[in-house]
Amino acid sequence: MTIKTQTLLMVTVLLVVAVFATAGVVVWGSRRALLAESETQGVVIARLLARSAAFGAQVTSDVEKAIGEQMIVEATIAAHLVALGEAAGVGAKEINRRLKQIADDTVLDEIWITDEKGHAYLRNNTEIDFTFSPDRELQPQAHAFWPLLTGKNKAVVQEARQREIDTQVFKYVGVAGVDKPRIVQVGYHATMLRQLQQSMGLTRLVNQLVSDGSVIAIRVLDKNMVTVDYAERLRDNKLPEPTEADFADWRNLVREGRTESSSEASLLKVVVPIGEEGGELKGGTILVTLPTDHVQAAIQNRIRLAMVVSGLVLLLGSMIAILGAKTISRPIADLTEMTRRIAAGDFTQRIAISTKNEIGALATSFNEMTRRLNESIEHLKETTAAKERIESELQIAHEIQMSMVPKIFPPFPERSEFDIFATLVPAKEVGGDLYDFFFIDDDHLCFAVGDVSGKGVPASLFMAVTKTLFRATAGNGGSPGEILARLNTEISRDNESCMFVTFFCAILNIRTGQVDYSNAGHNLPFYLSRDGVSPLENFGGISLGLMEQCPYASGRVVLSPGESLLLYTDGVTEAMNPSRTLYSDERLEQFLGTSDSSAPRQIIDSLISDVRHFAGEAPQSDDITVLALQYLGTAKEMLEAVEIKVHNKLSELDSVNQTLTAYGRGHGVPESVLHDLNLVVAELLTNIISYGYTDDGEHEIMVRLSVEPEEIRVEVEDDGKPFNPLEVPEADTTKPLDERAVGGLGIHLVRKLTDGLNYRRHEGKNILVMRKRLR
Amino acid sequence: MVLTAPSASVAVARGIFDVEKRRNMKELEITEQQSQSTTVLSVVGAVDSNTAPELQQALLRATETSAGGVELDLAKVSYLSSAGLRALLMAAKALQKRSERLKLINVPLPIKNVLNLTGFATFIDVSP
Repeated sequence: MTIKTQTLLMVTVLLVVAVFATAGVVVWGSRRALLAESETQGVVIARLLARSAAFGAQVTSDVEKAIGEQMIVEATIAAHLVALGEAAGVGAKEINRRLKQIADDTVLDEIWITDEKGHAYLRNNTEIDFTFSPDRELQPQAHAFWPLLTGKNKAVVQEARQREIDTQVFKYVGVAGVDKPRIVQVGYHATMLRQLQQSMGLTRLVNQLVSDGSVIAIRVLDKNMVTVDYAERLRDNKLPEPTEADFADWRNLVREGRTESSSEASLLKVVVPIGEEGGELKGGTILVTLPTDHVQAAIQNRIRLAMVVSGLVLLLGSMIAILGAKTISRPIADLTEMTRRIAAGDFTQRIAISTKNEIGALATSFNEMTRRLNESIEHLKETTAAKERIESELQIAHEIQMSMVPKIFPPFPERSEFDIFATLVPAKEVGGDLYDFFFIDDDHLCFAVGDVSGKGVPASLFMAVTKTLFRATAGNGGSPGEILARLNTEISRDNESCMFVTFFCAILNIRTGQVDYSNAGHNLPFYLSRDGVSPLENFGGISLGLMEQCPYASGRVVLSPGESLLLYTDGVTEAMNPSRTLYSDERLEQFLGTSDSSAPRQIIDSLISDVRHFAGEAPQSDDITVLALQYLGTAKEMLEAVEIKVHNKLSELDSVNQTLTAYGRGHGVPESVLHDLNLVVAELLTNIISYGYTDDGEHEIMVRLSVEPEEIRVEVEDDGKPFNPLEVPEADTTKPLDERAVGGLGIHLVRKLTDGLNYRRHEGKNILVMRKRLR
Repeated sequence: MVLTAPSASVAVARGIFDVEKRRNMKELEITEQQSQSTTVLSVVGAVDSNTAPELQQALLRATETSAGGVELDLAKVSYLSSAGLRALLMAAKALQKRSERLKLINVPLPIKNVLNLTGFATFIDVSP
């Protein structure tokens, strides 16, 4: 999601939340206000009703009182009229007819006139026969008139109430008779009063309020929670009757004198207890149900308005957000693009952003970073160039140094008295190790190994000096001790760098195998004799270059044919593995003791690979130099020798086999040795015959056999193309059957079944000398 | 300083050479026997690059026809060159496809040494 989208989304969400929250609060507040207004309206209506109820009740009572007095007049007139009539002898029937006529013609409903005993024998309605009784229980209403008979009361005015004969509400007034004790009673049906009450009081107001539509229902309850008045506008849903729970609530409200309103559906119910202002209704309750339709309509209006405003705000907000997001994201997009270009390698890019905010700061830092990066890269280029120059110079120095030590092996192909091999592996491009060998005269081979203190270029320069001086010094003759003494004096002179070199120097007499040697503080070479491996005895002096004019003693050892000397530098014994363990003299001695070959090249190759295997991943810390010399003896020491000439035909293998067997048996060579030699020779000859020649012509191969005191020597000479079996890579004999390749086993067997192998190319011929111990 | 034998020695050697050549010039002798399901090949002579093809043919034929394993009797073999080893390798591979192993019996000590040196003893059964 891009920053633009994110900003836009964020602003929009915020706007939506803010707008809706505001709209919600406004709408809710309006609703509250509107409902409160309605409630107030309800309370006002209720109070008004209570007052008007009290007022109406008072009026009705006043009217009833006036009517009562009027009725006394009517009853008195009737008493006099009856007295007159009876005195005049008018019969009861005639009087009753007249009474009926009065009742029919006026609003007076009933006239009852009794005899002394209370029997109403005169009346307007002759269908009903009634007799008054003083018994309160029997006649709760009519008994009140009995005192008129006894003369105790002259007139009785009774309020309108239910009469016992038919439970209709009537108002009765009675007076005592004027001619004799009797009850003269007149009665009005209460309908008239009720009509009066309705036209003047509460009920009318209630009905009018309900019918004009501002109120849905009004219920007036007295203090006993009896409904005094109730009106409801005609609607689809009739309001439910109040339940006991409602009554209980209202009673609580009355007790607490609290007004309560509740809104449900589209109705607002306001319950107002009636206080003093209600007169007789005090302690009652008025329940006003108001419509809230107008509230809903108003709210809907406001919501609609809020929506419109919200929409406009959102639209405006989004537009501002888009603009803002663009403003923010454009520099970032620019930055991104720049970064991409810089990543692609264009460091000249600069960002043109001048805003003062964080992005501007970032752009400035970015430009600064690019500038520094550019500088660093320029610097790095220069450094790299310089480094490359130094490296190439070092590489040249390496080549020069390597060319200073003899590197062509065999160095003296014409010499069969000894075999020599050496290797130098510098830890850096150039190093301070050296080896050298050269003939002083026809019979004496001088050879040496040295190690300059320190490493790298200084050591290599010192090594070059040492080697040059050594050649010059050794040429002047003398014993190794004398040579070292002279060399030391030369090196020590003007040695301001105070470097020194450990050095081992030896001279081999190739006729006798005698080796004279002297050691200047160097690791003592190992003597690989027939009896085992041991270091040479130490003869010599201190390291070269420490002080002038030092004596160096010489030691001597005589090598028998087949015996070797191994010279090395501490790069071998001090090679470290990753856990910083040294290769050690002991390990070297043990390695040489168990080596299955005595040929210099093979010993050195396997030693170097053993050291590498030991060091593992650890970097080479010091130069490694090894020189091995094996004395082979002179031809004079050989016993009777034979030479077999073979043509390049495989069919001749068998005859070589026969000859070798016969020769070996004749010289007491053990059968197992003969077997191995036969096999080796057959392999070699097969190789030469099969692969050695580029033409189809006939060639001669010479096989020379000689038996020496300890070993049998086989020399194979051919004029085929150059082929050094020692350079053939080792065959892997550990692979399982299905991975084994056909071939490569011949040379493997040649190596494994001989004790010494020496190859040289001489005058266009391959000469391979094999040695095998006789036991 | 190539060592040179006196001419007399060469003559002597040549003489021996000729005598031996006449007496021992012979081909490889291979005899085949059935022992239950196993085919036993007995070889007489030196197995070198001349004679190895013979051994190879005999071995491959035996591996093809034998219902069971193949045994090679080396009691009378003077030596076994790398060409012979190659023949053994091919036979061993052919037998491996049938989950069989080549078995060498009566192996002379020098030949056993060769088999060990070349690692052949790991996939060919060698019994003395």
